[in-house]
Amino acid sequence: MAAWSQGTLKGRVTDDQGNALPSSTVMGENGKGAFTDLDGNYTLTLAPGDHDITFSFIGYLNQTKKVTVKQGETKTLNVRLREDAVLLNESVVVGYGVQRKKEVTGSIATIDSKEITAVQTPSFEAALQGQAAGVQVTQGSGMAGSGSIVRIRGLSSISAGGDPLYVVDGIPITQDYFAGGNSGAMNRNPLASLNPNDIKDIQVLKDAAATGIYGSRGANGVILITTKRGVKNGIQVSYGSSYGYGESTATPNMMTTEEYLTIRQEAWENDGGTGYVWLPYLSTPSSSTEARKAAYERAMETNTDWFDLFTRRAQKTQQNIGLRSGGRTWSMYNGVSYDKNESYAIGNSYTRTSARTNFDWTPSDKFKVLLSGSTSEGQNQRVRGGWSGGIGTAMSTALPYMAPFVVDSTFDENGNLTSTERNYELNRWYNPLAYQDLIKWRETERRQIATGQIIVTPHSRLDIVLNGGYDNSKLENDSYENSALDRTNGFAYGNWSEYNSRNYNVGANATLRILEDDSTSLSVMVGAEAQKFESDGFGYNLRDSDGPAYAIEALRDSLFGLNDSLYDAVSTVTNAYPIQYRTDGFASTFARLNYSLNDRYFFQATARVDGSSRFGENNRFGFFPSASVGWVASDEEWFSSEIISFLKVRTSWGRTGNANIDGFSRFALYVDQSQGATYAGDTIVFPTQPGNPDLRWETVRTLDASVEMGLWKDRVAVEIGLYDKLASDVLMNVELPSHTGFNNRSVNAGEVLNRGVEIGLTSNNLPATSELQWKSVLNYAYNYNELVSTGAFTEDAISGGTNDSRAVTGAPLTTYFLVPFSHVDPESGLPVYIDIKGSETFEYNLEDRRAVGDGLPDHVGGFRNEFSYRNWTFSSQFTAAFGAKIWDSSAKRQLGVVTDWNMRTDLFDRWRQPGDIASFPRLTLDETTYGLPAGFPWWNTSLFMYDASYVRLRNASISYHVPMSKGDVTLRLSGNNLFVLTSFIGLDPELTRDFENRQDRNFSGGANYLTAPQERSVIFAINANF
Amino acid sequence: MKNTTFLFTALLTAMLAFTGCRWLEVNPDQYILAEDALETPEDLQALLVSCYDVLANLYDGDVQLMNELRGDNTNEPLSNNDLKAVYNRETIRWTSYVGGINRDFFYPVLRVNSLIDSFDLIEGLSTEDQKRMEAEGKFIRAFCFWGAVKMFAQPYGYTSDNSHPGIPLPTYLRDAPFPRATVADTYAQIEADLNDAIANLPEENGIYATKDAAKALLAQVHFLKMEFAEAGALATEVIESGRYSLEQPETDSAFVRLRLPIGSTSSESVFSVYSTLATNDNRTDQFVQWWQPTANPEITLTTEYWDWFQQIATGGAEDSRALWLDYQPTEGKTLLLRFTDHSFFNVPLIHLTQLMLIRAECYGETATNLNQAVSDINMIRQRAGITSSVYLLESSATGDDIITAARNEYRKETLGMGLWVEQLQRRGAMGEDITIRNAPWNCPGMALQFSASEGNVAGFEFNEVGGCN
Repeated sequence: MAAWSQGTLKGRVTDDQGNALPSSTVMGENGKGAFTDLDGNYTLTLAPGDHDITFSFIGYLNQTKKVTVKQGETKTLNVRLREDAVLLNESVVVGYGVQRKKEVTGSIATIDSKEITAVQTPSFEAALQGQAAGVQVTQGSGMAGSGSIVRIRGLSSISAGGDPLYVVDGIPITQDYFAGGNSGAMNRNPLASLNPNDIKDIQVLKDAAATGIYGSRGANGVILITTKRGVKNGIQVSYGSSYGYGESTATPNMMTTEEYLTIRQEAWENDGGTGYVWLPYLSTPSSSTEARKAAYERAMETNTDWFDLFTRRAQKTQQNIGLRSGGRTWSMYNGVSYDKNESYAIGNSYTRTSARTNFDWTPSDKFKVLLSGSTSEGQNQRVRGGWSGGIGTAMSTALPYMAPFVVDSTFDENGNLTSTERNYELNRWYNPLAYQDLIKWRETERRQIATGQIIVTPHSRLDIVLNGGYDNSKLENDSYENSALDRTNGFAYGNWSEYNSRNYNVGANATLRILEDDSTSLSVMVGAEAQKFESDGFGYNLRDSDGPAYAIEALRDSLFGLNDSLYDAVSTVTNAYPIQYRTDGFASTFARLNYSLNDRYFFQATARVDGSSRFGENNRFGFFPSASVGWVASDEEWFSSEIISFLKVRTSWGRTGNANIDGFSRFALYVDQSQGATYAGDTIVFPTQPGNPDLRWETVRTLDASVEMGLWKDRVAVEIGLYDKLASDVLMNVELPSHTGFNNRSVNAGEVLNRGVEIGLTSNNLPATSELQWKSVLNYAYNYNELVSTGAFTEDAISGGTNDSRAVTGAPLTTYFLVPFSHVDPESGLPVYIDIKGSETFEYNLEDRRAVGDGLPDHVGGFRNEFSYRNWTFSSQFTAAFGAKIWDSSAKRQLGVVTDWNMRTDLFDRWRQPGDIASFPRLTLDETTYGLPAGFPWWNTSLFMYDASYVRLRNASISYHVPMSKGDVTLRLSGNNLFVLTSFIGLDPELTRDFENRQDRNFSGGANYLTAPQERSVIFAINANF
Repeated sequence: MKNTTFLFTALLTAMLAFTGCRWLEVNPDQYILAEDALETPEDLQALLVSCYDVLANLYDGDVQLMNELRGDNTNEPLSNNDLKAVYNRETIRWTSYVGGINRDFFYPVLRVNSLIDSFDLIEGLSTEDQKRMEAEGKFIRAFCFWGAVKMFAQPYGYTSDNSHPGIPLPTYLRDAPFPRATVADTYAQIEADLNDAIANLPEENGIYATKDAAKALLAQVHFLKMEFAEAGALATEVIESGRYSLEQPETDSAFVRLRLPIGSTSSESVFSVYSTLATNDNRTDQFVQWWQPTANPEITLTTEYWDWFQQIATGGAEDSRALWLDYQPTEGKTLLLRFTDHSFFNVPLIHLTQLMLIRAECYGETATNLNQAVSDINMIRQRAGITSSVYLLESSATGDDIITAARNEYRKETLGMGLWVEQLQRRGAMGEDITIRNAPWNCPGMALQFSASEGNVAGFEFNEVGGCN
């Protein structure tokens, strides 16, 4: 029929927020249809008359509109599709493959790019917070470059890492939190160098049916990251830019000089002192009365707000460009981003520059090549924090009566001022500002991740995939301390070191679809994979350089050997040292069988055999099976419900493992003088580690039972899951008794139980036809955690480092082991403790310590609401955690015995006279007043343990979608961490302190030690697609 | 098609499996695998030397300070909480400084046991070398057991049969931990090891343990066991070997203060640990760190010590050892300058002065060879610059006079070396009414607490805490 005799329908298909939905289907009732282009535009030629036109897009609910067109008429119809809450046909990335969501028998949560980039976080994993049930994310501190702790369905591990496995485009990446040690009281975040804007979506695999295919590394869950890829036949550009500022969510209530001196004086007098109290750095206990008085009066002349000196309003800026392009046989994604993220700590920032290219080539339907490559540089301008200095010192040893500096002036013979210089008075005290000003420190990570896949389909029922990956990271540490800091010799010290890690993966798998018809299918996937990890490095200790290597070209040249003649001129290398070469490998074979009957009964079995160099020759290989079944009951003919539109039940059983330990733990080792040690010039060799040839996998047995429901024609989706995880052969790096001559040994002992409930709910609260749309996403998880056994070792053998947490059987991991505090005796003002028999006592006895709380929350959740009206969208994301306790380890000194630390104003509520009902006991300078052993002011009582429950407005944003005929532009103003509701009297109930090792990271989740609070930020962003 | 595919997949899997298995074989390159570590006599010698290395770290001022703090020479440490806990005799399982020393004492024990266990596996090891190494090993093991039992247990004589708990005695390799042996058994093991050492150690052995060192150590063991005849006899064997002579004061004030030379062997030294100038190998960190006479040193001597030094009738103003002391009456403290003029030095663990004074006291106790005892004490006093006869012992001195004089000289000569408290404890065990800073010599906290790690396997018997204040 000639075109003039037809009508034309055209328009644009978008989502709720006006974003184009390219490649949507626009279909008339006669099967004639069209696809939308990259901008979501379509044109459909129709015969004159009435038509029912159906608009559809994967992941969105279909919408059918009645249209009447006349001959020669061009009619415009724009349609907004709403997300399908149930998403039955959505593709879900599973390990080594993709499945329809309907057929998935495991527990998998999907988080798409919109959710990841909506909350602007320095590192993508922080954006997972509150997004999926059973995924608990505790944000890192406010320091730039810090990382979050992610726990999936609780914590099963003691000494082995408890973090999930991260897999990018099919390849497990390196995730070493301790590559930089615990320098400056912060651990390195290995995920910080990944650009969130490159991520298409993230799947969180939770149960054994989902993680079983990752076998020995699936026990703590798996996070699959899929990056964006190109588009066919076109070009699409996206540009994003943001600018914002950040500040500390809280300010510590440290005392002023007057307050501190009042408190100190009272303590002195309580202890029987007369006259003025002695003051650290200004007088001593044995100083004369006059000297103490003079010191007191001098102190009153200064009042320094140290926290203010170290903090600021930080600026944040981000630019990113994404280019998606493609032709008939190829497609490509290119992304470039620059993200400069200052923290509120002066001098501290993390700048990430990254680029990615993902290229797909499909010359025929039997051959496909997928290549992905990214390179990034993360530059962390470091400052000291926590116990190491800076903000931590502002909350501890920086006393308000100490001046940050005095100005030394120099005059010429005529009395004219010739120069001034800051004098930090380092001969008197450890002045943190001097260390802030005179230390230059930068850590730089350069990381390249490349993956490649070749997919061959020799037959319509067979896919063969060959894949390989390479993850290369180079971490440079470059620090310099000005000579003024060395009071003894006046040397300037520097350190330059390089830590390299390389991770190689090769693998292959083949999927054979044995049976494939409309209702029944059977497929088998078999594969094999090998991984090798290597790390090494070297470092130089330097003396007498003029600055850090990053600031002095000549020093850089000499360090890199480019100009040897400068070597000695620029700096003296006092020590050149190697960083230990480490390596380990995995070799695995695996298989998966999927059987689908009548498209409603789904069965899956997986099996994996893993071998790892980390385990002893007696137990090198482990076997990890899983089995699961799913039933879509709503597809049964007998099923009929007005309310329930979709009902699926599934259950799984499986075993997974954890191998996240030091690669050399199993070896019996000696060291020799190559480590730098001799005695009187003679060679030495000695044993350093007892071996354990029986060392084997930590194994987790997981049971899962879940129900998925779609309600009211899938407007509401509900998912409820129950799980039970029992970890056995738990890897423990136990401290051996001193007299064995060894320090530690890795063993398999103990059992840990996690048991819980997860509920997820997604609801489109208003009818699809409404112009106002309101979507709510709620998730909630309860987890019960228990250390069931520690095997042959006592509970003392497993501690949480310096955080007073340790193993207690019958209690959760991260249990705080403290002397219970009862109250302050109103008569004497002394602390009253509870002894091991439950009686009140004034005696503080470490033998009375017991489990008093733990740092693992029982309940975590997230609640997101999204309102769209025309071009406006408002969204809010609340996160919450209940049931955990904070152990405020630094409060021992901030609120305990009066020492040489500044204290917090909470202490004003102290006992002063008989009859006082007070939170804190009578003040004292003498720890024995509280019953502590002399010389042991570390007051390990539950007085400093607090409820860590909180509800936080994690993010709120308002955005405006600028209507455009081609492309789209969105403006967004968002705020992060805007407020928190909590009863915690400290800075922030959500905290992640620094850790010494994996065990410490597992055990000390809720411990605080001068930890910098979270950051609150406000960001304005513009995103454009065209 | 299916056959080809199957073959292809099988080949690929086999290839990967091969690659993977190769990747499973890793070697910790910067370490030595235990099975490769001890293959030659040189390896064994290196293992043996590593034991001296640990001794050097233990006795770099750490052990000496712990023992000094348990005595009555020092004030309470200024600020270090662990040191304060030792001083106050309130150490607990988590007093980490003490726990570290507890652990350090047993590193050499493991190494010696590994050494002895390896002899059969080494090719080319001469019988002579094997005997010598075993003897050196047993000397070191005895040294460590003795050092540990003096710190972590109540002294010999605390109970009449010495059935009170001593220390674990790992004398061979085994995975299971050892319980605490009694003090009687601990001393018996030390004596057995030292007798073996005396039988097989050479008379000359460079800077390492000799027959004399083992005899001198055994003399000290007998002395603390109040077996004075045996102690005196063994000390005499060493003193009269002719291999040792008293260092004499020289004009170099640092040398006068220390008698602890760098880079050369002291003529007094029977056994020392070494700091090596050439390699900047400093084994005296802790002496310098804690005693450094800054404005506020961590460790100072009491005014009472100064008064005692001034007032006893054995030296007074003539005594050049006063140069070691800087009395600051307004601050209520006395600084010890003995360790501060050198950044590092060799630390004598057994030396002639000590042996002469032990022998003198033994002679006093047994009322034998009194002339020799008088002569020894006077020689030491004269070396300190004392010339007036009024300050020297007369030849008619009684056994008690000699005992008193020997003890006074011992307290002076070993100042800062941590050797005084064990003498007070011995005298307490002998029945003297000894109090140390207002607490009886045998109050519970005098025995330092073991490291918490000892409790990591059930059943370990810890010391009673505190009870001395």
